Amino acid sequence: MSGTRHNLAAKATLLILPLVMYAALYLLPLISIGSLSVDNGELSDRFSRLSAHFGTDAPVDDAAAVALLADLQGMDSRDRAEAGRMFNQEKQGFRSLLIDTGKAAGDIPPTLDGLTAFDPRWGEPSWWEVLERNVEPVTWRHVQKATGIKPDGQGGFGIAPGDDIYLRILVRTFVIAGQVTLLTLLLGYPLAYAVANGTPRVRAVVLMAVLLSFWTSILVRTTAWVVLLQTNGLLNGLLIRLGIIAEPLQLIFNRFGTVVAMTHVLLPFAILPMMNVMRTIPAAQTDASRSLGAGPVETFLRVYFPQTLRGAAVGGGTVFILALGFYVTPALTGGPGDQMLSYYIADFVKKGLNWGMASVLSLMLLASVILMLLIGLLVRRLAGWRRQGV
Amino acid sequence: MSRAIYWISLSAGFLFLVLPLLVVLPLAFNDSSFLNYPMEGFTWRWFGVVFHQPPWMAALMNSLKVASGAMVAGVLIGGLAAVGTMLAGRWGRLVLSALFISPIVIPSVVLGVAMAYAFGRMGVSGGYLPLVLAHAILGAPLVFLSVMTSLRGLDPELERAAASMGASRWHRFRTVTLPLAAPGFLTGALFAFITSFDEVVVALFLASPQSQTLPIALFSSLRDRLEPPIVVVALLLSLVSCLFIVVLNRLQKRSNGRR
Amino acid sequence: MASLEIRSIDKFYGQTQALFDVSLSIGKGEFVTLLGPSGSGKTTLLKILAGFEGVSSGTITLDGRDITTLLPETRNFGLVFQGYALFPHMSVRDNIAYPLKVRRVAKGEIDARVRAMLDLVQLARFIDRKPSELSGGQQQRVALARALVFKPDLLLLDEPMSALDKKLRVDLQQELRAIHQTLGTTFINVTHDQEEAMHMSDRIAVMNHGRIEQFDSAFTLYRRPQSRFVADFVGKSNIFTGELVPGSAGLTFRGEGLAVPLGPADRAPGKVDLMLRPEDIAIETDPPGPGRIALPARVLQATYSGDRALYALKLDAGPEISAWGTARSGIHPEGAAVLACFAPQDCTLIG
Repeated sequence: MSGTRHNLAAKATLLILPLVMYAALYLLPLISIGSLSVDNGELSDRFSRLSAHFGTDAPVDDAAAVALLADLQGMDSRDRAEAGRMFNQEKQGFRSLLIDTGKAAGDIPPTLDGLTAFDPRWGEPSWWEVLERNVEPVTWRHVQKATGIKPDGQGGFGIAPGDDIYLRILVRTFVIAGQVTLLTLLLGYPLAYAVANGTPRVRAVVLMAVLLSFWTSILVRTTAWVVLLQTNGLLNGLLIRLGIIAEPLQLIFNRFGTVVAMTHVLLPFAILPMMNVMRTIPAAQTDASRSLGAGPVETFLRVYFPQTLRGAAVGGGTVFILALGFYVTPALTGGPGDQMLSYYIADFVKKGLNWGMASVLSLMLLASVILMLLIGLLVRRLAGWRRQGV
Repeated sequence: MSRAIYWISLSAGFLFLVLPLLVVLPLAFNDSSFLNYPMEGFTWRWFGVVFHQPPWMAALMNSLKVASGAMVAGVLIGGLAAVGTMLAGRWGRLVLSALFISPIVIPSVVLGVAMAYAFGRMGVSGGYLPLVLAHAILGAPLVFLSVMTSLRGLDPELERAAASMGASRWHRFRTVTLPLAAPGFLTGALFAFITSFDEVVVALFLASPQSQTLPIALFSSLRDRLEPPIVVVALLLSLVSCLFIVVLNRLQKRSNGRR
Repeated sequence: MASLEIRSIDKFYGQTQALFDVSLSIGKGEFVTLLGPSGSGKTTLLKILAGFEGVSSGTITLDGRDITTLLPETRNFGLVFQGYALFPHMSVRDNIAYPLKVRRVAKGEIDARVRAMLDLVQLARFIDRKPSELSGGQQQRVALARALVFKPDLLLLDEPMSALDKKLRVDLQQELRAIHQTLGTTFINVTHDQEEAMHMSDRIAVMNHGRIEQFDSAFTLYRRPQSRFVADFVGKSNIFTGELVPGSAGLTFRGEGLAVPLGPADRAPGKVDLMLRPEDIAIETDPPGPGRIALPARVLQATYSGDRALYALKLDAGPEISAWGTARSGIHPEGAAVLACFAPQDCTLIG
């Protein structure tokens, strides 16, 4: 029918701009961090000849020496230092070896023996192995560093002790998110209850407070906590004046400060979904339960509370997912031992422009968020089936 | 007994929610360079500092420029996306909605890293453009959601009525759909503006020293040294949020009154 | 002279067929109602006429011009929606002016025509109100004015009275009829309310399960229904199943314990239904005069409604029937033995 064709054409034109913008500004960047995480262009381009040599599974021989020397001659000293820095992350001393070899590249006889004569380290296979691993166009270097999972030298994979630092940080990220979620639910439940069931005045006041808090920027609310919790800050001052403590407590730049501030910042996200669910529960249900002989506590536990679990699940899930990606609040209120995955991602970019590591850790964080979302969807599906009695 | 549990837990939650800002923000007027009570006297001095010393006013101007640009671009992208998605079939609508809403759930640090790298590669760097574009993507889902909500609330018969009276598709859209969905666009625009105005993380990755926004300035000075101007800026930002809520409330009342 | 020709329309939604070979021929200036229960296809047919739905096969022509695939906005048909579909962001004036603005009518003329329409529907003083400030009946009239102001070739009304209370409905029916006579536009009304259909229409198309059962004047539909469905749906009726048997004095209907001599009739014997309207039955206690048939019965229930009473009777021969009786001197009590009397010429054969 002509109307349908008309529809399609109109839809297509309307969607061109948004789709192009999303593709260029959002999807493409996300995809690029996917490829960045295994991309080794920086090194494989500089060592193109050596990369080609190893690409044919050739051994470390004179031809390898020729390729290495030619590659080094093709770079300027900044390139060599930069490449050396990256190898140095795997093997200490590589940076100086590469810089020294590079400077003399023109004078070194282009054989393996010539190289070994210049520096005996070129006679040891371990140095070549680093090169072999790291000049290919695709690298698992970042992934191995982020997960700690490496070849164990016996054909298998394993995590060497001390290499699991980012896995520990991932666990820490989940633990903090979990603590914050629990606290927001505990503190938020009575507030949501009051908005749904309180007297008109209580409702208005609490709702206003929740909405104001919701729309006040995270940074502003974190600022308040920084001011409150400092060593010479408001809270310590109050506690000392009240005689509860004699010396200021360390309230900030530790786990306490991080969790408290994050709980405050995320509290509205837990309250709003619970509130929306509680508003749909008719007051008559509670009255009915009371008239049937149940006391207020029993009525709450058996009639009201079970119906609010759906809201708590949505609120808790939202808080958890948001908390996983938190950066600003822990950065301002946490100590070195309280930083979450986001902090290290930002750090890799800000300090070392190490896009590879930043990308791998980003993927790790993204995967965690998506996993939690999928679990949330699954739970909703299952709960939905149960309600339908299937 | 249950009353006591209710009131105690409610008061605890309520105080936790409101006290930090209520206690800290008045320090903007404290005549002392220490952020502590008791207040030593009332002063506008710190407002003067904010208004006359760098980086605050420059950062505020940057924020306003970026937020305005992000709002316009976000409304354009999110609004068109919503209108186009409404016309799609059931599955198309599901897929398109998921795509257009998805930036909301991506951690901002991930978006920041991804955009900083990709924009650099595309040659979009320096000045306001990268920030505006990035914030447009952050705002577009909010515009999309609020326009979708208002479009879904529309009676489809109104469009048919207009068609039966001879109005072309474009004329119907302009005279019936658009005016009735206007509150959705306005709300979405507000969301997009405030999202950009408050955004720190992506901005940290994309802003050049010349396009430093107010949240970045606040973030940097918080890491640097705690001084009263910080509280003044926090107070001003809170006032912007209050204003936002008032306008939002007005908008909602107006569109409810018409139904 | 036929103006709107609907020829052999089929409409499928996926596997389900909503319309079966629908054909109608509607004259210029006629007031036609599509009457049927929900799911009968009447709304589908209206949507097809308005252009919101396509046909699977068949054609629609207006004055010989094929309009089957025209877009709604190019048909020049007025449409009054069930929920009125007034634009909430426009005043009454702007709502009615809308189709004229679309047609680029000059400003002065728009104003004059809007006022004329408002006078016609007696709403002149509400010109600056918003639709939300009007009552249901007033909104209905604005919708009518808006659909007529651009002098459409055809006015389609989709259950226009369904949201109004009964009293208002009757007033509006008369008003609509008057407006129809003033303007002379062809009206096509859709309803499930047979009273409304009979009050207003020149002709009624009764629809059932996607088919047109009968397309006739209200009188013909009522007195000479061509199908059991029409007999049942339009007005109250008693229907007996049986057969026509030839005899010395012509044909006799026999079935359900009844024997009705119909005299000479130009139709073949065989299975047939016989319809008898409740108002054609008189309830007596004494045997009637010659030429009338009297069936002994007992009163099951009597429903008094002032001017008359509706009786549910159990015939001694078996079937239950309903009949209107006079109530001037009281009603027969439940269980009373009565005679249900009627004349054979008031019976109608169906099928």
